[in-house]
Amino acid sequence: MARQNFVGLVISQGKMQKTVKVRVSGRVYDRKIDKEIIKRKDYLVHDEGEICKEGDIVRIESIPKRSSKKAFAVAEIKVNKGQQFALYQDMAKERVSQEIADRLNTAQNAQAEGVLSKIADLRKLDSLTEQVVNASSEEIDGLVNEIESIKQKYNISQWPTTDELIELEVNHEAKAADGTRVNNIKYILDELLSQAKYEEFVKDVVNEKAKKPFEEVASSTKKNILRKYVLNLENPCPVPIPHSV
Amino acid sequence: MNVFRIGCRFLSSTRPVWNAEIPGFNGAVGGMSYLKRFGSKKEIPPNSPKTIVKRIRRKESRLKKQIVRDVNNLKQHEVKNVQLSVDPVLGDPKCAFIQRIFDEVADHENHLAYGVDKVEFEKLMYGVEKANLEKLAGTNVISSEQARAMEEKKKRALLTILNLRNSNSFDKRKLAIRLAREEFQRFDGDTGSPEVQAAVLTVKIHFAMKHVKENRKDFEYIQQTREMVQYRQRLLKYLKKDNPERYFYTIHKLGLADDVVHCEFNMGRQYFQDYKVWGDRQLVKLSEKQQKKIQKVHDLKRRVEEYQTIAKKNYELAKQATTKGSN
Repeated sequence: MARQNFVGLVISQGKMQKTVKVRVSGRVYDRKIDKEIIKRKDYLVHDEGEICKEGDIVRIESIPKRSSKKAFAVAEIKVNKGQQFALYQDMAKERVSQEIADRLNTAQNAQAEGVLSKIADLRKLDSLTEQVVNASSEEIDGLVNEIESIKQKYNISQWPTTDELIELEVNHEAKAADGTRVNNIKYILDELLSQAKYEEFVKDVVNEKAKKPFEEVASSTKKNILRKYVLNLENPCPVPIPHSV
Repeated sequence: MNVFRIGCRFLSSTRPVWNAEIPGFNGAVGGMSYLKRFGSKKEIPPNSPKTIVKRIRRKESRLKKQIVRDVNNLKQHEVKNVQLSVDPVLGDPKCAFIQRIFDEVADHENHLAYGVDKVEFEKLMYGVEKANLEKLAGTNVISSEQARAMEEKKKRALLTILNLRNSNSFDKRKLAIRLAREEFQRFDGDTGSPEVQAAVLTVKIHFAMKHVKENRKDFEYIQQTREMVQYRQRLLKYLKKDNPERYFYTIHKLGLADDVVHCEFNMGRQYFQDYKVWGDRQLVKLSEKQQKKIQKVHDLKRRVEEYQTIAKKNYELAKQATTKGSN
């Protein structure tokens, strides 16, 4: 006869040596209430290698009694979710402590500090260039050397310069208006809907998409259709895009 | 409490409590038998009559039974009443992440008020200085040094205005939320992933609890906080199902624990009392019956502790006696 076999969930582990508690549940018909109910039973199960973790789904098999309450042993681990979770937990602990160590070792916010030191250096460069004008002939060599070293550090060809050495967030918006349709969509749509010379183009595009005749289409719907059309780069855009705002 | 817990584990362990081999104790002695043997041991005066010895022995055996019963009862109680591993609202008080966030918020040097970025501010001030100096260069009204000093003065005035001390707690919370989001985001500008949401909620909960501590009558706010705590639980439960690896990383970083996420928790009076949010204030009234029950457990714990000290003392005495005997 085949050995008795169950599949169950490991609900308790690590409290007894080489033993886990496995919950086996099954459906049983209850005659009193005339329906199936879930019945569960907990078994103490022998786990020789101590590899099961809480949350694993295991198959257990009957064995000759090992102790007064143990008559089953783990035959196979079907789903090792509990083991996975335990592994992830260890990994998380390691990762967090590693992060803390990294933070202590590396200077915080290195990028910000780089920018600040650059500003300080540029200030120094300013004062040095002023000093050079009034300096005596003995000092000039040292000052020029210093100036050159700072220039080399930040790759500056001439001083004072017109190049952008420090990127300002304020300028981002102006830069964003760089001639792409996405960044100028508001301008394009305004032009299309207000100027008379684009009327025909608008009519064509809207008639292609809209279900109603052109006169009945709401202005917001027109705008939406046009936006979608213009943003597709394969379609032509009659409005010339301003290259600098 | 901690001391007691160690004691309990020591009592309930099935492994030998010490490794030293003592003649007459059969080598390995279990924690239980250690207690039985020493906790109940009575000293018999020498040359005492048989009846007295018998009486003492009977007393010993009775006490032994009592000890076994008490220890087992306490063990059962501990198994049934498992405490949460960390505070379910604030998490681990030693959590490095939360501490760092609060340090950053209090850092007047590197952060400015009203959401102004310190680095951006420095850049802008440099640009302004350059522009103004250039403007003054042709005019010869004041020297460049004077102009620079003026600019420096302006900058200092601005820094005073933008000092974090001038901002309100809402601004500080905003800064904290931004920092938390940046640490957890999966990509730039990610505000929606569950770990980011959980981190943001955790920051909000910490700020809220500060307020709740000071204003215990602000029932509306307490309710909002309670909802945040439960929403965070729900989010984390989802994350565990969705991406367990990230889930464990998130809870560990936020100072929470798995049991705290999955327990049935309501931030009610019992919580405020247990975690002493408003000091030693009794918020939940117990019936006489409940009080008696608690007293019973308390007495049981005290008794077991007593047995332990007696057992330790007796063990030391026995050890001394055996070493003397062997010498």
